[in-house]
Amino acid sequence: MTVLTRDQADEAPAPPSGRVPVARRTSRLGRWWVPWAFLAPALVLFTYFKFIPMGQAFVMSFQDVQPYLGNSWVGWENYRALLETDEFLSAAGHTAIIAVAQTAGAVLVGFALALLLEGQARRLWFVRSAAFLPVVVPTAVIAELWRIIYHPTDDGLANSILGFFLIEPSQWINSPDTSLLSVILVGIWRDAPYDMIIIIAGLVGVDRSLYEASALDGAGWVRRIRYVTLPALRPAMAILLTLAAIRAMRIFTEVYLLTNGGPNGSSEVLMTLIYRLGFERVELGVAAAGSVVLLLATIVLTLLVRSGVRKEDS
Amino acid sequence: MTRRKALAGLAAVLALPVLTGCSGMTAAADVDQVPVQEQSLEIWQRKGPGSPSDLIGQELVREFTEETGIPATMTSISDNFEIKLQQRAVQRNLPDIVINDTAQLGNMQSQGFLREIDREQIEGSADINERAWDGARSYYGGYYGVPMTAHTVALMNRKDWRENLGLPVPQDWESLVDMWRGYVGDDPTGTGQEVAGIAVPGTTERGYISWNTSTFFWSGGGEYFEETPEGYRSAVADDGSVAAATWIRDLACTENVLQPGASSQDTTNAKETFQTGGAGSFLVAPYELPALVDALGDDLEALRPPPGPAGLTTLAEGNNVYLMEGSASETAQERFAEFVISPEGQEIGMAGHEDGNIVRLPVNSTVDMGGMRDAHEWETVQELYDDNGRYVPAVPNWTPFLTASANTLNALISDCSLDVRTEMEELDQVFTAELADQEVLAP
Repeated sequence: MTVLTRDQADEAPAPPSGRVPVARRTSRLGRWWVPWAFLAPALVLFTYFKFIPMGQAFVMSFQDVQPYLGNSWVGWENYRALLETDEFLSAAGHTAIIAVAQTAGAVLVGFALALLLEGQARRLWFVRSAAFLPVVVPTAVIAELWRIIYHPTDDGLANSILGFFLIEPSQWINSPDTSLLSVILVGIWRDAPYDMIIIIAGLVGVDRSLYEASALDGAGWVRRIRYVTLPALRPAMAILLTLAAIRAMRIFTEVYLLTNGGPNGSSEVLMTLIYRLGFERVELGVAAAGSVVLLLATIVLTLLVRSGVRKEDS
Repeated sequence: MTRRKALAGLAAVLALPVLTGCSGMTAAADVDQVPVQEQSLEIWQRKGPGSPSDLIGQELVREFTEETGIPATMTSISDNFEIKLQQRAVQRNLPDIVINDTAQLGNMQSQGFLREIDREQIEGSADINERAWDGARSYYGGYYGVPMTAHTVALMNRKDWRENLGLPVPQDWESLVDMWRGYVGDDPTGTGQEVAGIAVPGTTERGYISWNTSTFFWSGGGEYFEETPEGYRSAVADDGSVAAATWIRDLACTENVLQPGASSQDTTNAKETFQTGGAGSFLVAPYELPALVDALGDDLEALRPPPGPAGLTTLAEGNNVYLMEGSASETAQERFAEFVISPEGQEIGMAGHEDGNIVRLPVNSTVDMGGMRDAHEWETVQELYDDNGRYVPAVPNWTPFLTASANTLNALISDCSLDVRTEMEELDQVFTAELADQEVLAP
């Protein structure tokens, strides 16, 4: 894909008069409503399937929701009910732990994989595709697979590997001490290849001569990564971290299928709690309040990451 | 067209659904009935699509249409049944009939989904046994469903394993746990394969662990509530309840007879564990009998669970035919309920020896089950239901209590360091708060 950068566009020959004649501007750029027309299908779909449900969830978060009997206004009652329970705070804590640990783990592993698998050779293409597989496998399948891997007996797959290193077998998803870690490991396993692809794309843009120059200056591979690779990857990392943080906030399927938030609520995250509130306990108003809180948290987090990156850039 | 006008037009188009969406938020009203000869029914049941139970359900509806001339469709939904019902509630368009668990009555009734039933108006209602009606009565006294089927649980056991170890049929809890310990430690298969004593669906999902162990909870002296004339009092922190919960916890923590990973398994996983020889016992209702007989044949026995310190109480359950609010075909709804409880409807649902019965124990006392099924396991279940069966407490909405008790039991079996009394006292507070929420807390 080639995109004209601003500099290149500026170099295009300007019309002799210095101003674009009106007739030509219309033919080149079209009428003002043309972009809106192109946007309209997406806008209509987003309005119906995203913005309206979001607006309704916001309204519902202030109501006692009884779809059949009719809703009634309860003010901030739902938020109060949500925030005063321990389970919401612990779910928020677990979500934060997962967001940080899983994002960091996946970026680290993805970065290592990217360094190993960068290049043009044909066999690398094959290995990269193989490494990418976890990303395209449906989460439900991943969860079932890992349930088998995490089988808590001595002869379970993960425990066999631990046994190889003379480590005691673990209960994995069945113990409150290890359930969160088990979920994070699955997340890293699934997300790392995705991060790898984005980082590889970023690595392609690194000027090779910089490596050679730094090598001539006597920089070892650690310093080359520190002073050449990482600075060049900053835009890619910004996107990665933003996406990963948002994704981790919304983590649901893996947790729901692997542990269902258990045992003893030790792996409950915001989404599983909201799901449980809404569809098991039928407290749709409180669940909507939870969704609104989650949305706000996501927006704040995204803005923080963006502004952090922008500050570093400037 | 100016830019401002065009944008205003676009905004109007986009705002339209917001307004129409909000108009759906008003309360339900009485629905005009269509003439009786034009009435039709949309029926939902909580069964797997394409499963044997689905096919039996389709047959039931076909026969109903043939006999009454009322067109009807049967949809089987197993995943997220309650969510899909919610979605239809939002659209103000509930199915006409829902066939669902007795324990869901309070949940649906409190949301205004159900029509109240006048027993006298339902033809054949006098033939339904009184205990089955218990499962259709709400806390407030009225009936909000017509019983369709009833059942209770029996202890499915590996007869071959028990005999290999030379053990008698357990008569009390001590010999029961001895048997399970034998399965775990004494190689009942003779192959050295590691097996568990009993498979328990220990997940909190849908409250499975509380539901599955309630038979043990009651038999061990546990009680969820104490019923007083002024309302309910939570009884989960009473000595009997703590003792019963401790016994259940010890199966995992000191006796180690539960299947590995019990705390995250649902009923399907637990059934598979038992069916494939991973565990020697499984406490389940007879709807699993045909599948288990298929898998295990003569190696399977259905035992009466041995009585615990407080005797034997087994969880009674069933399905009701719920007549849903907002239907324009109320007469047809009643005709369908009458057909389901008639001897003919009951026999179609019982499905003889086939897999997929949607009537487990007939609720119509004029139906002779022995004439339809000769497996003696069914008789065991019938006796258990008649003598020991007990429905979940008739609080306005049982679901929050089921979920809360499941959370506690799940915690107890997955973290053996927890103190049972402390946990049950915490559960007691949750129960008390919920009773107050449902406005039935005894002063």
